[in-house]
Amino acid sequence: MHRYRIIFVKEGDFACLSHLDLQRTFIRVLRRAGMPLAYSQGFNPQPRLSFAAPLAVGITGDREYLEIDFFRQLDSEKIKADLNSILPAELAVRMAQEIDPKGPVLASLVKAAFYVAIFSPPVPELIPLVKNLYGSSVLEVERKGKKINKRVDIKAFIYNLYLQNAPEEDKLFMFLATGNLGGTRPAEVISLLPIKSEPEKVRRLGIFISGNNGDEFITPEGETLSTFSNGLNLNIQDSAIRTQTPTAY
Amino acid sequence: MKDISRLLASVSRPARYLGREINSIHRDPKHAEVHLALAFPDLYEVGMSHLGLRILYALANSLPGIYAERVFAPAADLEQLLKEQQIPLFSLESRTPLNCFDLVGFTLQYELSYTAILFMLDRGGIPLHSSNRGNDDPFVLGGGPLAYNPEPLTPFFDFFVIGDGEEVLPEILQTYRSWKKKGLRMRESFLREVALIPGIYVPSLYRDHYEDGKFAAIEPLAKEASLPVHKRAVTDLEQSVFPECFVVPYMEVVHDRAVLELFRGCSQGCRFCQAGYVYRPVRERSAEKLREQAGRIIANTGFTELSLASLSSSDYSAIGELITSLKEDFANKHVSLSLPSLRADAYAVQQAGRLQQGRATGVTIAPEAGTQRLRDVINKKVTEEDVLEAAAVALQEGHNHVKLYFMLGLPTETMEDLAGLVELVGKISLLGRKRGKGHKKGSPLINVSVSTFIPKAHTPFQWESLLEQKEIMHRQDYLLRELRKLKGVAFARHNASMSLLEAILARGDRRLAAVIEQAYNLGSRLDAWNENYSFSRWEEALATAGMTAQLYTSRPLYYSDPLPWDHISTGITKEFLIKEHRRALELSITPDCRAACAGCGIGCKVGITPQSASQKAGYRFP
Ligand code: SF4
Repeated sequence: MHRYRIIFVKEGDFACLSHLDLQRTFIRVLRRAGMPLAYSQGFNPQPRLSFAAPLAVGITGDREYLEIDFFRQLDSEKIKADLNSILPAELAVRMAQEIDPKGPVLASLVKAAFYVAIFSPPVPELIPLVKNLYGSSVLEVERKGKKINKRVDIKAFIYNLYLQNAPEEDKLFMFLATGNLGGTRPAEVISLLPIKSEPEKVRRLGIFISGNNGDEFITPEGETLSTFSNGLNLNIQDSAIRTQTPTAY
Repeated sequence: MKDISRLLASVSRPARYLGREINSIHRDPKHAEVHLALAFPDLYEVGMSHLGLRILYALANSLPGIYAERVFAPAADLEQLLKEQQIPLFSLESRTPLNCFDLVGFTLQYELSYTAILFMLDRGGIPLHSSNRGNDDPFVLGGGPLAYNPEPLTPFFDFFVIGDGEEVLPEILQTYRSWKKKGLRMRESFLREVALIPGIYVPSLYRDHYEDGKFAAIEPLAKEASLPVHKRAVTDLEQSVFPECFVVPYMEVVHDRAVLELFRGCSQGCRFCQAGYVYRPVRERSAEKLREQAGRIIANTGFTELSLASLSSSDYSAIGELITSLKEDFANKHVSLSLPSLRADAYAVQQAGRLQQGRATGVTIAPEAGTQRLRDVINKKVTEEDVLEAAAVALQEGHNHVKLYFMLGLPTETMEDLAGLVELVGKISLLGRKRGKGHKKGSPLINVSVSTFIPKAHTPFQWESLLEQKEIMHRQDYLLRELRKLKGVAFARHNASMSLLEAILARGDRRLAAVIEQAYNLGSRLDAWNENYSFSRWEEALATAGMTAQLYTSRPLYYSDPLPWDHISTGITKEFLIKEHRRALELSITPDCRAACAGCGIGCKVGITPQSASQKAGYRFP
C-alpha cells in the first residue's frame, strides 16, 4: 500500500462547501482520475481518505491536507497534474508527496491551526476589545448539542490573537487549538467580541502538529511556529496580543 | 459577481448556487450565438436529479454556437436576499441574469412547482406575461410531461414543446438562430416561425372559449397554428443523445448517482399513470449500448452508484443479460447498481437482488390497490400471490425495509378495497415476522405509502373525479386506525389539500392562470416543499377569480365534453382512452402491449410492437 499526502487550497466561493461535500467530491475526483484507491475491508468498503482537519464552512484554506491510500505506487507530479485537470482552480492541488503508510495520519496529530479574519472596513476600537478578551479569565461560548446547547470555556483553546490594523482593514490573526483533544474555531472567537460587523473573509493559513521536543508547534512540513509567523511578520513567541502597522505578506 | 459571492456566504446550503461542478460546461456567453437557460422550477437538489435536464444540457451544448446553462429555483433565504438587494436570479455557470438569455426553457415536471416558475421569471427580471415581454426579453418555453396540458400556464409562456425535448430543441435553436440573424426583432415573427415546427404549441396563436362556465373549445387564430399539435418522439433511442459526462454535484442531491435510461415509454398500460400514456411507445436501447454508456459514465464522473432507470425497468427485454454484463464490468470497481422502479412481482425483486449483491437493505413493492377487483380496474396486472411472492423473495434476500405503495381514492374504490389493502399488508407483515424468528436481522419494518389518486389528462381516467377532501381524510383515518393494529407497520398520511391542488392544476384550463398568478402574489412558492405550503392562498386565489376547486376536480365529465387538452395530441386516440375507461369499469384487463398491441393509435407497426432496439424500423408518427 502507498500513502500520499495531498496539499490543496480551498478558495473563493468554494469556502461554502461543507466538509462532507468536499469529501464526496474528492472521492469522485479520485475515481474519475482513475487513481488506484485502496478500500477499507468489510461490509461497506470505503476509500481510505483522511483529511487532517475539517474546515468550517465559510473559511478558505491556504494549505489543506488530505492523505490517501493507493494500492499502487504513482508519480507524485502526475497525481497533482491529473487531479488538477479535473478540480476547479479553487480546489487546486499544490503538492502531492508519498509518505510512510505505517505512520500516523495527520488527523491524529493535528494540534493547532492558524487563521486570519479580515475586517473591512476596520472595526473601530478593535484593539482594546481584543485585548479585553485576552485578559478575561473565562471565555464561554454556546455550542449546539444534540438535544441541549451547552456552554464551553474556550479560553484554553485560544493560544494567540494578534491584530494588524490599517486604515482600510483589520486583520485578526488567531492561533487556535484544534484536533481530537479539543479546540475552537474562528467564529467562536469572533462571537466573543462585542462587535456587529462580520469579517469579510476568514482564511486558514496552516495547521500545526507537536514538534519533536514536544513543546513546540511545527507545520506538517517541519516549519516551526516562529518561522511561520515571521513569514507573516508576526512575532508570536510571547503569547500576547500585539498590534502593529500592516505589512504585506 | 462579487455580490453573488457575498450572498453565498449568508445563505444555507450555498453549494446549491455554486456552479463550477465537475463536468459542468463553462464558456464565455458572449461567444454564443444562442444563449439558452435550462430552468428547473425547483431546488438544485431536485433539478439535478432530473434526467431530462441532463439530456438537454448535454445536447444543447454539443450543438455549434449554442451555450446552455442551468438555473434552479432559489430557496426562500436567497430569494429574500435577491429581492432586497435587487440582484436578478442568475444562471449557475456564468451567473448571467435570467433576462439576459435568448431563450429560457422550463422543465414542467410537477404541478406544485407552477408558482415557482412565476417566481423565477419575476426574480429573473422577465415580465410574467408573454404579452408584456419586449424585444429585449428572452422567449420563455416549457416542455416535459406537464406540457401535455399546458393551458393553466399559457399566459406565462411564449411556446411549449410537446413530446421528447431532444427531438425538437435543435430545430428550435436553429430557427431562433436564423431569425436572429435576419435582424427581425418582432417577437411575433419568431413565434409564428417556431409554430411551424411540429410539436410546438404557441398559445398566443389560439383563443379559448367557454360555455356556461365550462371549457368549450380552443380556436387557432393564425395559419401557423396547427390543430391538434402532435407530440414529437425520439424514434431511435439507440442513436439519440445521452449524457455520458453527467455534471457531478458537490452537495448531495436527491438522486446522487449516475443513470442509464434503459428505455422510454412503458407497455404496462396502468390506467391511472400519465407517464405510461404520454411517453408511448416503448423504445429501447440495446444492452450493448447501455453497457458502453455505463462504462463511460462511471469513468467520466466517478459516481459510485449507477441506477438503471425507466418507468418499469424490470420490463426491459434484455434485463437479465444487461445485469450480468454490468456486474461483470463493475466487479471490484466499487460501483453499486440499482434498479429503482419496482413492480410487484418476484422476478423484478430477484433482478434487483442480483444487482445489490447481498447488500439487501430495502425494497419497494407497488401493488397500487388492495383487492384484485380494484387492480383489474386500474390494469395493474399482478395478483395477490405475485405480491406475496415478491415480498417473500425480498425478505429471503434479507431486506429489512419493505416499502409498499398503494393509491387511495381510485375509481370505484370502496371501503372493501381498503380492507383488502389492510389485509394484504397484514399478510406481508406476517411473512416478515415469520422470517424475524430465527433470522439474524429480526423482523423487517414495513412502510406503507398511500398516495391519493389524481385523475390526469391523457389517461383513461381523465374523466374521473378526485375524491372529496372529507372522504380522503375519512379513508386515511380508517387506514391509520387499521394499519396501526399491525406489528412493524408504519403509515404516514399524505397531505390531502396538496393532492387537491395537484388535481386542480392537472386538468386546468386557461382561466386557472389568473389563479396561479394570484396564489403567487399571495406568497405561494415551492409548494412541493411542505413547510412552505399553504392551501389557504390557493383558496383565496380561486375565490378571487370566482372559481371553485370542484369545477376542476369533481365536475362530472362526459366523453363528449371538450377537454382543455384536446388540442394536444399524444398520438393516442380518444376512442382508445374511452374504450380503456369502459374496460376499467368492466374489470377487463388490457394486456401489456409488448405482448399484444392494444391499438392505442400510436401506430407501432404490427408484428414489431413496440420497438425494441433490435427492431428499429418500426415506429413513425402519423
Ligand atoms: S400502438 Fe399498440 S404497441 Fe404501440 S403503444 Fe399503442 S398499444 Fe402499445
